[in-house]
Amino acid sequence: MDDIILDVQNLKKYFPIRGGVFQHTVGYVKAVDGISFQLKRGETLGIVGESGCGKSTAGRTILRLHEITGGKVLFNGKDIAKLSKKELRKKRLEMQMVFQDPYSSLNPRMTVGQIIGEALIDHKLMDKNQAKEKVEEIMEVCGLPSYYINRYPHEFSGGQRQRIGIARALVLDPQFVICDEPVSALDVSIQSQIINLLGDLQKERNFSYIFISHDLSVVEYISNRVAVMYLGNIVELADKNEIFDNPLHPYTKALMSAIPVPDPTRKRERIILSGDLPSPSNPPSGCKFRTRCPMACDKCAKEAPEYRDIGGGHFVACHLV
Amino acid sequence: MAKNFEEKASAATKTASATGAAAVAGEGSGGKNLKGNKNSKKQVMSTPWRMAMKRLKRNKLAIAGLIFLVLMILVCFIGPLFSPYSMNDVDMAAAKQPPSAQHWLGTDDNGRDVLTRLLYGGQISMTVGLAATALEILIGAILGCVAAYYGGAVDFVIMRIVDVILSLPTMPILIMLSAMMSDWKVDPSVRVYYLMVILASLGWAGTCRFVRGQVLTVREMDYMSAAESLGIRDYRKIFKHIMPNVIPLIIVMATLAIGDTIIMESTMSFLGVGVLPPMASWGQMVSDGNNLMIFKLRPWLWMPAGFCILLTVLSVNLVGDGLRDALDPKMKR
Repeated sequence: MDDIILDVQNLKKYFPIRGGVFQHTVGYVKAVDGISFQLKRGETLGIVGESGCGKSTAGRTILRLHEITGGKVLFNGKDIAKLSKKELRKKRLEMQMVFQDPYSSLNPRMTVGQIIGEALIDHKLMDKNQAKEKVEEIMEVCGLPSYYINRYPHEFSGGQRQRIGIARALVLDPQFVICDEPVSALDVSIQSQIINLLGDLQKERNFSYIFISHDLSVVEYISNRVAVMYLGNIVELADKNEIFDNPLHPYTKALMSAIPVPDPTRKRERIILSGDLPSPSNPPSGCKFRTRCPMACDKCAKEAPEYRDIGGGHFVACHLV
Repeated sequence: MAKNFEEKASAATKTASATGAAAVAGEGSGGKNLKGNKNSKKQVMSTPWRMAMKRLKRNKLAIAGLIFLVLMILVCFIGPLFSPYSMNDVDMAAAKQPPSAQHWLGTDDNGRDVLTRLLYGGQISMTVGLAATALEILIGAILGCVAAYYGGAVDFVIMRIVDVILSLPTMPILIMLSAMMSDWKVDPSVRVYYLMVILASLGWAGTCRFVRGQVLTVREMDYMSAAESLGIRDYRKIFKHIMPNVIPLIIVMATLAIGDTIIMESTMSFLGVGVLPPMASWGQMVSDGNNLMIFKLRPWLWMPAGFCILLTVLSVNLVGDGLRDALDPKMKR
């Protein structure tokens, strides 16, 4: 079992809703409501789901950019949630994040060299000259000419900025990287470049990715396994081929049916979900998906379905499976 | 802090231009690049501070305001050295004279040279304006940063104090404090310093609220999350990430606040509760115009001071607007 790098157990993140004169807590937004999965070394786990289902929050909570409300995040067997600030600072070197928005994720008043090399210097991993060499090396690896080192982010295009973001994450040689919709702000042509870059880097350096996206084709391309999230829960998790060919959860089926097929003669059965995403501060009883599920029955309203392995590492949370 | 950053940035760009030029030439796309100088000049312009300076230089009104301000400061601080009179030379024999070769702006009821007093008054008005604003920005910026960065109870307490201060009626309080100072017989030259402190302590609340808002905005940016996930230390996050992104806005705010403070001081001095004689100040000189005879028959006593206030505050505001457009293009119109 030592090839498991990350073991997330029943992770929860609730955001308090404050109200009243004295800002007391009047409720919670259950952004991530008990998710569990394991990530193997060198593997890419895709997380998909619609806007607001908690996939970005899940990513940030795993890295403890948000304080963890409940559950465990075992990184190489150590619980991230229990680390002190000092220990966490050291652990952060091994886990990194690539952000969605290449514009707000780079400080406009620092040069590329400062942005990428800051952590090397702040953690006193190397002196300035070594850091500069390392930064130039990683820039070349990420497809940025190293003579850009003293330029400012505003001089770059979106794709180049995203490369800077990737270089910043990789300069520390992390063991796993969370990519939070790293390509959704980019043009399609640039998307493929960035995704290929991420893939190549993974082959070279053998780290694990959690790849968060709402774009199924991107996730299908890059992932080994895929988790589908709905309203703070994982509803289905399986190998990529398994989940794309044989989706079991009604929500996954609906998602898969929305993938466009580049063949005008082929008829596809489109499952159209009605209704809106319920509020995560007041989720439906029982199965959270039941309000929009075409197959919902009485049992779905009463008890929440168990998230279980139905064989071959195919996890699903539905009474009807 | 800001200056230090600028120096570093410019030093960094110099090396960038050198390597950049070499590398581009090496790639063989030297066509655009035949003149190495031109390329390096373009490179130098590209740091955020340099770009702001470039935008500022293009703004003619702001530059005019800046030149006028510099002249005003030079004239007020150096001019009196060449004057044969001093601020409080009472010469009853020469009282109530119209402008002449000896007294360019005439003399007042006590025979004091009006031009000399105007220059000293300018010194005091501008010093009070600058010092009070500096103090106000210092208090406001520090408390604003603290409130935004720590949040929670600290934020709550600071912001409620701000709310209280902002809901105090400024003028009556100033008049009251001034009456108290008169009662305690504070010496007029010391009173000027008290005045600065009072203006600052009533003015910092607005700055505090503004700075807090800005810090909160910056704190929520993704690059702050990135810094967190890289395990960057707190002090570095504050001084390398938050400060450089908030300071330009504080500079703009401070510049515009100087104008307001000068007006405030002038108003108080006009009402006789600010800078008191024998110290001179522009507002106090304008108040001579309260006398109908002086207002009609001897406009040289109060008009120059009025124009000085008008033009100085106007230039300060022009420079402030120019700085705002230059430092934060997003806020422009």
